Amino acid sequence: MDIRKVKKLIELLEQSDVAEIEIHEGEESVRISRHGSNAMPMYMPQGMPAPAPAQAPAAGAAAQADADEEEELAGEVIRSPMVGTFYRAPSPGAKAFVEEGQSVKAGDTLCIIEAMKILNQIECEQAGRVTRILVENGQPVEYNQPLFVIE
Amino acid sequence: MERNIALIELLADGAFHSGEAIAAHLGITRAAVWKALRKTTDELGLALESVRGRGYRLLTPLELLDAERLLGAMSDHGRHLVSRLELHRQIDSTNAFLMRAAAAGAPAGAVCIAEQQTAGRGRRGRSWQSPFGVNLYLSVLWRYPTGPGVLGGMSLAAGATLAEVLAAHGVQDIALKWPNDILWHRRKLAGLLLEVAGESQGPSHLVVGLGLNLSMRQSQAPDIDQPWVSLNEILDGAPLGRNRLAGALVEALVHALERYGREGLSPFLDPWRAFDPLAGEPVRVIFGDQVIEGRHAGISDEGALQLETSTGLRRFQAGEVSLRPIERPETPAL
Repeated sequence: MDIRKVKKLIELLEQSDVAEIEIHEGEESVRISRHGSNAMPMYMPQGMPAPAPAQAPAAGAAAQADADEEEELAGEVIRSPMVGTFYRAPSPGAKAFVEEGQSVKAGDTLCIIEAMKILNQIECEQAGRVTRILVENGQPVEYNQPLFVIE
Repeated sequence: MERNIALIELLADGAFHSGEAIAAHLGITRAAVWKALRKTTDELGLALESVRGRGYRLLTPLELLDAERLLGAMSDHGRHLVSRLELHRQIDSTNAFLMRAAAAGAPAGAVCIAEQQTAGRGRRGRSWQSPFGVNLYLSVLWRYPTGPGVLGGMSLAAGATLAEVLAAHGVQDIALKWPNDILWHRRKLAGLLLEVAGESQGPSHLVVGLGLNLSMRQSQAPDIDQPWVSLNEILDGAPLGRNRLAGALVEALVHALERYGREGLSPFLDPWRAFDPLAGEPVRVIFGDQVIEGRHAGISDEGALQLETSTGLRRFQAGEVSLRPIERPETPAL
């Protein structure tokens, strides 16, 4: 990349608060960082009050049905954190994130729940083995509805 | 791709460049120029004009993305919220890039913008047509201490934010279709796709991805299966600077993401409702395999789409909701 351009970018970085600029042009790339590589500032929202859940729980019949079903489910039950549509794969036709019988570790994606044009990746919070998948691909799910059983 | 980029940087101004100048710029022979031009313009879907004795030019000049001009269009406070700016000539998807970066620890305020996406995405794996240099493909990463469950309203907040930026740049008749499609006279101008991951009790991270049609022509997007429009057609020959608009969008999005973390959806409800022309109109909602008719009753304070039906008020929060105004028969002339 043109050295004058790099110099201009460094000047720009000095003038603004942006910590890092990375520009990719075809095969070339330049990364200009104001700090050491590990000193990236974290801008976290401060004192964030918990907003009212954007997806209000659909209580009532569904919750009751869950309670009945729950007794039969041995192991850790992964529940839907929201109302939405359940997808087992990242896109139609793609391989499912997990299958019954598969071992998973913490942080693995189990499914996607789409609600209001947000694709929510539901992650596994502890290691184990998926013993049951309780919802069909593409089906609507309610708040707190059991999705997976993990042993 | 490298040669394509070098050539495009030379031709972007839309002026004539002689074969000799192009050959010198690329370090190739004069005889190889035509082939290189054809290859680049074909691959990038750009229209080229050649005139004997004058040389070659792009029919439509391109304003390539430029970090300096983009950041120059932002306020000090906006720049303060941007931790990292990534400009790519070509990328698979700006959303996918930031979701990967987030998993590797990228901070809130990371921004990724590309001239071209090779695997641009819409919801549920549909593709988002992303030809080179003519539109904006832009994503922003933010982090929240809460779980993903409370981030749903950001979908509407992002839609309202985008509509406000466009209106502030003189685009009239912008309409939001729940939850966040940006329409102009019922033609799609821009779309948003959000992706969220995290632990149920937090923390979580969210990527807002935006695709905005700027000067894309019909021939560059033969596969779009719905009516669409480009911003330049709406503004009729008074195009907005691409970097300036990108800067304004990044500015508005980082502020909205930060504010949502503090205040949730509530400050975005009135702006959203200001762009809701269907409120009160008879509409049809397609939800899964059901078709429900009713009167569009706007959005609830939680961001759900509300429909007044013969059986009472119904709220929709998810699924494949397709909203269509019911065509009323025309009043016969007297």
